[in-house]
Amino acid sequence: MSTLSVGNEKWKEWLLNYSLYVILGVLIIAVVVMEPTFLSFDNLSKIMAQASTRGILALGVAGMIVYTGTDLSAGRILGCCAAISASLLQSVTYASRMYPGITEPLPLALPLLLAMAVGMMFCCLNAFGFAVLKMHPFIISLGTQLIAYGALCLYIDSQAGGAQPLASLDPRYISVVNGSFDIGFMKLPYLVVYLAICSAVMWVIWNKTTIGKNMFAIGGNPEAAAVSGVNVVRNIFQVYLIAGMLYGIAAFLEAGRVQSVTTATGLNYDLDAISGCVIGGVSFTGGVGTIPGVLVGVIILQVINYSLYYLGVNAYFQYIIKGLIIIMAVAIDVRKYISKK
Amino acid sequence: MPEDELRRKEAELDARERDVARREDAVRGGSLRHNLYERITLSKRAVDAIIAICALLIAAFTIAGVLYGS
Repeated sequence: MSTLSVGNEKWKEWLLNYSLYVILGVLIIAVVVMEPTFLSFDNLSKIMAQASTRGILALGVAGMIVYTGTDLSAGRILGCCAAISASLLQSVTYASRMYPGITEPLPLALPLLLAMAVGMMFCCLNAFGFAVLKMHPFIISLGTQLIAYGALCLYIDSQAGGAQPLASLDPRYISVVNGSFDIGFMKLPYLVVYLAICSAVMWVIWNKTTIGKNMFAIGGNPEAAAVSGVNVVRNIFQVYLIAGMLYGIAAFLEAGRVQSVTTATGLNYDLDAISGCVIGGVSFTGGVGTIPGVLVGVIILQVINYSLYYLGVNAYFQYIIKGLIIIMAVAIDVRKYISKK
Repeated sequence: MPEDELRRKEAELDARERDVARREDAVRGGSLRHNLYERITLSKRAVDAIIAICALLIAAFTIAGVLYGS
């Protein structure tokens, strides 16, 4: 009898801790039954390509969550940086381009570096509020979100023809972002390769450098880290600046992927990035998280999005379901926190 | 060990402890700790119920979303 109850208890624990994976499994089974091509390599590479820009964004946000913080401005910063990339890389033959003065195509690295610089600038503002002014990251990043959105609207509205989407991008740009490697019968999108490179670099930073080690120390216990001689403010600035660089890269890739930038670009991307991190095990209690976890979280979220789309779930219902998934992921995280207490 | 030496070591230890306490106080002056779960008073059972309710709602809204159509 007692063995049976212990078995039941273990089973219940497993089911609750992995409930999101169970939901994902059920969704995938439902979709595969309805549409067997869902698990084709072509489709999976499309899902991965779509997850890549959000994945790069999530790699930046994850560092802030490790500090027990978050970044609500990531999506809007991405929008701003994407607008800069797209405006500078519009086709020189396009009559309504934002900068008619650019008559020769710019090197691709220039807009990328500019986007990264703008991302770093916004993240610097967040880091200053968090590390120096000791503001709650929710508040400072909410302010930055509005500033970035205002700047994006002004930038897009400053075009000669008024607020129109930044489109007709340079073909070189589109091919660098949307191209793919042909490996036998399958295609590996460049976007997936870019995500893999960013993830590898971030894994090294998190696990093999002082910045990463100090980040986890501060996230776990900022007082103890400071007393042990860690320069808390400098470390926070370093992590935020790295996040800003990642936002710039994600923005550059997202503009090229969608091939059009409007004031709506980046909307809710921050929530996707945060939920990806939480699903992937980056805890709001601080000091806990892994790069593979973030990647798995973002991919799970993307697969859920795709599955809902495949099942023909109404778009408005999809928002409700995504909200419930975030609440559930946080509840699972809280459960782990209570168990540890 | 002579008494003077003992006193000197004791004073050294006290000074070191005071220094650590001072640094701790300075850090606590504006803590960066924003643990979102610190004030949670829910029991584990209640959190389990929330997870279960979320799972049921996700299933219900998925079915409703399919029936409602795009």
